[in-house]
Amino acid sequence: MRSRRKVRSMDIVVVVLVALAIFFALMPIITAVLLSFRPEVERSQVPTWIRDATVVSWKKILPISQTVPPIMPTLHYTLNSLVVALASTVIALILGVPAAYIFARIPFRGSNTLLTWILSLLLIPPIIVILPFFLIVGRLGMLDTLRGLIMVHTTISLPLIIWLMMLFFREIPVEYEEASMLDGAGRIRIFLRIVLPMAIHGVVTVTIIAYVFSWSDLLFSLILTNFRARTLPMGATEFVQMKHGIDWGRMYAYMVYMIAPVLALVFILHKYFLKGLLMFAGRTEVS
Amino acid sequence: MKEKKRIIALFVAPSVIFLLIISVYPMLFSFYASFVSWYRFRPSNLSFVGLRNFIEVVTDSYFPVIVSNTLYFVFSTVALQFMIGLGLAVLVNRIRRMRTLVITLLFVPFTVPPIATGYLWRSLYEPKWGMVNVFLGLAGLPTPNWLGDPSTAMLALILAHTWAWVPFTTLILSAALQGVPVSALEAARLEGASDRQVFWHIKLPWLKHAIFMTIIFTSIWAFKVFDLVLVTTLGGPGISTRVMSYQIYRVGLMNLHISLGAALSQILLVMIMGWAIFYVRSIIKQKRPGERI
Repeated sequence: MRSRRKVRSMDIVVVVLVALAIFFALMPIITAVLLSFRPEVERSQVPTWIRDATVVSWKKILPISQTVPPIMPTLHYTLNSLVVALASTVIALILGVPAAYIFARIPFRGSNTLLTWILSLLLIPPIIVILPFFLIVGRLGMLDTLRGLIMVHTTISLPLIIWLMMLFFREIPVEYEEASMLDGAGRIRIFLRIVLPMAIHGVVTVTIIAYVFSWSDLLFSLILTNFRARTLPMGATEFVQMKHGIDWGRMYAYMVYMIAPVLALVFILHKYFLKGLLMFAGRTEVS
Repeated sequence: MKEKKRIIALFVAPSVIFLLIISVYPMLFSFYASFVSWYRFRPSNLSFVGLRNFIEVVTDSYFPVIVSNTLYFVFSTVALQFMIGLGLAVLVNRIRRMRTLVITLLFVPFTVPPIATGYLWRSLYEPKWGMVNVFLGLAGLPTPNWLGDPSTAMLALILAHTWAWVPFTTLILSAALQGVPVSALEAARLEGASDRQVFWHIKLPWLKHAIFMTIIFTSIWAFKVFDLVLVTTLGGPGISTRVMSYQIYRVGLMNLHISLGAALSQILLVMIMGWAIFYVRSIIKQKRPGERI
């Protein structure tokens, strides 16, 4: 039998290590928040930051202060990012979730081949397909349009959604569906009324993942857009990279501005999200 | 039966058709482009050149360095992520209060876009005032120019990438750990098994599937690394951090040697597929609870 004191000291070690891990996880972001209020980051000594805090970097990147109507770049990029991320995620969900359900529940001839193919799409690095995407989007006349970007982002998130939701549906017991089938309910009705509500944690989780991926994408924005459809990550290059090097204060402000909405989303939905991930990791019941 | 077929078509066809249209062409294009001679946007006069592009790419004196950079990056980040992720997962599961909050906080780096990871770490690595060197200086340790020195640049990228992706491993493994059946743990305790024995003989085997999944996924993401390199080192100094995906970007998109870029793409694809295809297979072969209906 271990003594109580030994257990306590173990607990303290655990808490200290976890606290250290949290510190490392958050340190770059906290640094960014603090230093975004510093004038001339390079010359400052870290501990004196409170005394001469300034919002000059924030003024340069926030939409409110960019008052000339035709050029409010941050607002423009933010709206573009928002529209592209929302639209591509919603389209990929509408297409992918029903398909994942079938792959998880009803095997049909060729379903394994199809599934292997869809999963293998996940492995393709975007850099390989970027040039053909450029040619397709150009042929369709959708270069530098939101439609073009939405189409491409949907292509990227759809295989991920199918794969994750398939894993998720497999974890849901079939008894409910069998019971309602005996009651004579149609399959579409069963899917919408019974399966989807049970899978809501999974749907929220894949929504967040797809949204984060679209929101973060730099490569496609770099190749497929110019100014009209430019998104936030691409906009960073023009706010941050100055002729003489990086404007660090603006960089910090811009990065915090870009990270904040996604963080807020994760914190608001974290209960759903964590439960969803529990199921993806192969847990058999949602507690 | 008829209804079943209609449902399958209705549910699956839209996705499949969409993916067929948009993703088959790029792959065929890339495959085709790697066997013809294509420089700049001049698609006329494309003659079949056999394996010449591949030979040119492989015999390039940079090629072995780039491949070894890529493999070094992938193996190091995957190993680090696995060890740190598993360690954190075990720690997190020993916490009783505020566990959800802790997991959510640990998850934060995952939501940071790669471009932000790149810029934030670039500032942390700044030789004079970056946090990393400030801390090292306080501890009396040497303060290298992390991203500017060929001997430390790769290590710096590996640490930044690991920071961004460890949360994924931690989250999946801690979720899987919570799923370890209580009955098995109790039985082991009754038999007098020590904590260590429980971990090695019950928890770790239970985690096998989750570990497999995280390793495959983290390695795919490591193979794909691009944004991070683009905003930190641009493959430098020299070619010390040039990895495959960045080389494809340079050759195919910046210099517009489209065929050479495509040949490099095929090589990268083979590297990834060779590594991951057995995972895809095993996922499909798994038992399906729903097969009864």
